[in-house]
This record gives sequence, C-alpha cells and structure tokens, in this order.
Amino acid sequence: MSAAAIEPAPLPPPDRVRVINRSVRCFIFGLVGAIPCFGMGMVWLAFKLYRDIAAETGEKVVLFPLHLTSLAGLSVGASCFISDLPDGILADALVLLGLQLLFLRRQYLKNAPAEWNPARHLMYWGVGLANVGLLLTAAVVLLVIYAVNQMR
Amino acid sequence: MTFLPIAVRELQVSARRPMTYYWRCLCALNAACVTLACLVAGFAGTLTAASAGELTFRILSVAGYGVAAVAAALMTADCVSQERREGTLGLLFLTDLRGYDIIVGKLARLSAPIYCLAAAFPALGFTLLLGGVSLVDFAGIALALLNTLFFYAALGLLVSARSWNGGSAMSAAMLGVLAGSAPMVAALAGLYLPGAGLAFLFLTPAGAFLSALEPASSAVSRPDFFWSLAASHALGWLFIAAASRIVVHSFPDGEDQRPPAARPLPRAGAPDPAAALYSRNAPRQSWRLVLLLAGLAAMIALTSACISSSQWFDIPTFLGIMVGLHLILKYCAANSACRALPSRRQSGELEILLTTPLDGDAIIGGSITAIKRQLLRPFLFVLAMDGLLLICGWCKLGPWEGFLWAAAVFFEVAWFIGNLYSLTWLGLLMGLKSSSHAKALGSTLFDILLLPWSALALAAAFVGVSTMGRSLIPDMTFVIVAEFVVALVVCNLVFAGWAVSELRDHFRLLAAHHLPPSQPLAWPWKSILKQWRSRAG
Repeated sequence: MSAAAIEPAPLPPPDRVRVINRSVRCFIFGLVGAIPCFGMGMVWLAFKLYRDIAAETGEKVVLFPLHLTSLAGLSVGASCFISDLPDGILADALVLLGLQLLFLRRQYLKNAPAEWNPARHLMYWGVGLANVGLLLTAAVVLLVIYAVNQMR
Repeated sequence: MTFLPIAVRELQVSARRPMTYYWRCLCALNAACVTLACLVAGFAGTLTAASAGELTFRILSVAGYGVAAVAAALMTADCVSQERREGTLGLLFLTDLRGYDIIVGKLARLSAPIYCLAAAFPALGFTLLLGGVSLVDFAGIALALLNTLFFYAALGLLVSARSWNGGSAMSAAMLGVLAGSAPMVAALAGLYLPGAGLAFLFLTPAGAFLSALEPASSAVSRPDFFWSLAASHALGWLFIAAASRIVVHSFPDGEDQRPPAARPLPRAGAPDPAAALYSRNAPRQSWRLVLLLAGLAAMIALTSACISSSQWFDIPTFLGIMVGLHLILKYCAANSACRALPSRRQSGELEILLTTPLDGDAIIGGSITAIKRQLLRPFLFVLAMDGLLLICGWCKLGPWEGFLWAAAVFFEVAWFIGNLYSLTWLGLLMGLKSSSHAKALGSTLFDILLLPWSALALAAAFVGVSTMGRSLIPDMTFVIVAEFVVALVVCNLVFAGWAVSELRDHFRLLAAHHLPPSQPLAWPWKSILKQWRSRAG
C-alpha cells in the first residue's frame, strides 16, 4: 500500500468568518454559563461549540484531565459533605478550579490547531468560564443539600 | 384490500419513530415522580396516606386531561389540510379509498398519546393502594381520559377537513379545546352552572371527566357520568362522519380554500427586504387577536363575578386573567414562528431569497422582525392589562402587602417576555427541522412551557426520596420555588441558545431540508474510558 493511500484526507478549508462567529458565541455562552445553577444549559452549549469548532479547525480535543479532575473533585466534595465539612466543599471547589484553569491554559498554549482561528482565545475563555459555572453549580447544590439537612 | 390501509401506514410510521418511545418513557417518569413525591410525603407524616393517594390521583388526572386534549387536537388538526396543501389528497381518492378510510386512518395518529396515557395508568392505579381512591374512580377517570382523547381528535379531524391553512386549523382546534374545557374549570373553581351551561358540559368530554374526578358528595355542579360519556362519544363519531363526508366533497382546491391574496409590496427602499417579503404574505390578525384577548379577560372576570359577586375583585381573578392572556400570546408567538419559514420554503420564496445577496442572518432577522410587528399590538395590550392588574392588586392589598404582589407580577412579566423570545427562536428552528407544523408546534410548546414542570416533578421526587419526605414541608417552599425558577431559566436559555446556534450555523442546510450532521454526544466517562484504554493498550 502506498503512503498516499494511508494518509488521511485533508480537511476542507473552514469558513473563517463562521469559525470566528462561533468562537465569539462560545465565549458568550461560557459567560452566561458561569452563573451558578442558572447557566447549566449554557455550559453544555459552550462545550458543544468548543468540540464543533475544534473539529472544524482540526484541533485535538483533550478533555480527559478536565473530566478526571472533576470526578476526583466531586468525590472529595461528597466526602466533605458526608463528613459535615462545608468549608471543605468550598476549598475543594477552589483547588479544582485552579487546577482546571491551569490545564486549560496549558492546552491553549500547546495544542495548536491545523487552521488558524483568530478568536481561539475567546473560545478557551468560554470553555474556562463554563467550567467555572459547572464547578460553582456543583458546590452550590452540595451546600444547599447540606443546609437542608441542617434544617431537619 | 387491507382494512383501513391508512391506519396501518400511520401505525407503522409511528412505530418507527424514536419519539414515540421517548414520549412514553417521559410520561411514565413524570407520573412516577409525582407519585413518589406524594408517597414519601405520606410516609413522613406531612400528608396522611389517604390524602396522599387522593392528591396524587387528582394531580395525575388533571395533567392527563390536559395532555390528552392538547395532544389530540395538535396531532389531528393539520393532518388532512396538510395532504390538501401538498396535493396528495386527490391522489388518495384515485385509489379505492373512501372518505372514512382516510379520516379513521388518521385517527391512528393517536397511538403515541394512547401509549403515553397507558404508561401513566400504573402510577394512577398505585393510588388505589394508598387509599382515598376506589376502583370505580380509577376506571371512570381512565374511560374519561380515553374519551377526551377521542373527542378532541375527532374535532381536530373535522376542523382539518374544512381547512387549507395549517396554522388556522391548529388555532381553531385549540380554541375548541379551550371552549370545551372552560366550563369544567369554572365548575371546579366553584361556579354553579345553570341549565344551559350544564347541557354544554354534558356534551363535552369534560363533563364525564368532572363527574369521575369529583366525589358524589361534592357540591360541584356536574352531569351524570355515563350519559355524558355516551353523549360526548356519540358526538365524536358524528364529527368523524361529518369529516368523512366533507373530505370527499372538498378535496379539490376551491376558491375559498386558496391562501389569502398577497398584499402589495411596501414602498421601495424598505429597510429590511426579508421582513418586507414576509409581512407581505402575513395574515392581518393583530386586531382580531387583541379582540380575542380582551374577550378572554372579560370572560374570566365575568366567571369570577358569577362564582362570587362580592369577592370577584381579588387576586385570584387578576392572576387568572394575567396567566390566561400570557398563555394565549405565547401560543400565538410559537405558532407564528413555527410557520414563518416552512411556508416560505414550501412556496419557493426561501429558495429565491437564498439566491440573493441576503445571508441567513438577514433572513432570520427579517422573519423575527415580521413576527414582532405581527404581535406588537397584542403584546402592548397584554402589557397594558398587566399594568392595570398590578394597580388593581395594589389598591386591593394595600401599600405594603402590594409589594409582594408587584414582585410576583414583575416576575411573571419577565418570564413571559423571556418565553416569547425563546419560543420565537425555537419555533423558527423547529419549523425548519420538523416534517409538519403540528410536530414543530408541539415540540416548541413542550420544550419551553412544559419541560420545567417535568423538572419540578423530578426534583420533588429526588428531594423527597433523599430526605425521606421530611423536607416536603412549608419551610422548604423557598427551596422548591428556587428550584423551579432555575429549571425555568435553564430551559429557556438552553433552548434559545441552541436554536440561535443551529440557525446561525446551518441555516442553508436547514432551509434545504438537509439536516446538519450531528456530533455524537461527548459523555465525560467516554473520554476517560478512551484514554484509559489507549494507555492500557
């Protein structure tokens, strides 16, 4: 088999205006998604847009560390909840937030897309803000359940 | 020849549609959640077992009536008129089919709502074990709900057989549902129905439903259950017979069935060509809608005055008027949005617009501007009524207690405006995505208006189970209300955002009826497992 046969087909050139528009929209969705609880739907839309834009520009999507840290953070938060430590939930959320933002920054700097996207930083800001919203929502929900249990 | 071939085809189509199964699961889930929430409240001592059973029974029955009536009207109101618009009705009559073959065959569309009701019946039957509900009550409600489904489907088919325009047929069928259910609501609110009112109730499925819902000892005026059931069922068959006759005699496009003549183009240099083109063909209905809204407000006030002549000028009346007006206008916004683009696509105007320098954003913007212009007068009327009701409520409650009323009014108006925005965007998207106007309208109304209630039922069950029912107490009202508000905002934001995103990104594909390729949903655990496997491998 020749080398040309096993090479993947080149991606069609993306519509750059559309990519920029979608990146700006991803930022707006992320901004709204940063509102705890109320922005939950926007978080999903921001992540969906991030994946779509990445597929269009040929950028590799690596969300494994993000999900893994979220899972670990949720476990720690639940443990704090069971152990009656509301401060622990907040501290866990803050540590998790720092870790995930560091990871996103690293990915922004090292994971260059095949096609240039002038609004790429906005897309990452959107995903970061959406992630903040997700963490804050989880923390708020845990704290509300804790407060409800205290009321009993 | 196969017996009722259209029915067989409709059932096959319905069986292959994934939504048939999703709707069924959703109905069963909602019914189970409501039952579970009441059940744990009963176990925790917040309610007695019998009152928990009775409360669950009433909630599920009323919700079932609403779903059955609206689903039956929505699913049948545009089925024959759609065939007529597409020119396939005449082709059906070239075969051996008769009028009743088509009409009774279209009744098979009711399979999905029947499955939904059947999925909810076990939860309803569970109330028998809790007490407070007898087997006769359960059987009566089950019969009344199935009769409601049949009656409003027959009414929808009759309307559809007479109509050419899908939107008008849908509105007429929904008006029929409203008119048929209004006496029941008034009777439940405590209105004593005189002879004529009781006779009207007797002929609608609402009469039998009311008789089955209310115990014999209650003071609510209602007709006899079996006679009302038989009369409304017979009337339903009469509608079917009339529709079968009409459809045979009116399948060619007569003079009166053509779409209304287009208005002259606006003056040259109009700022928005897409809006101008849309407005040219849009029906002139804003004043009619204002009159309808005013009539509805007057009717609610009159009913309240009949129930209690001394206490009608009170908050429940104001709230009824406000919510009624808002619901009607929301329905109109969704209806206009759902047919704005598909009707243009069907007539070929959208294709012509796409060959001009106008891009997708301009066409969408034009359509939205046209909908805004169409609904501006009714919207201003509703806002004026809200202001009037706010002042009336404040005068009634006094300066300090009036603040709470004012806050509630502002919240309702904000929710109303947010819903109008979301319904418009989602309606435009669903209109392009769905194969018929009824499906688009049903999905839009369900996603924006009904889904938050499902979320509330789910949350109530979750909170009830997690706290073993001890949290379902008045102290927790704030948390439950906050939860509901969050569900409302999330539903509005997510569907509006999704619709904006899809329309802006894939407008040309949607307009050409080529649905954009959907990315598989990225569940977090999938990426974790994938990474795990790649490292292990």
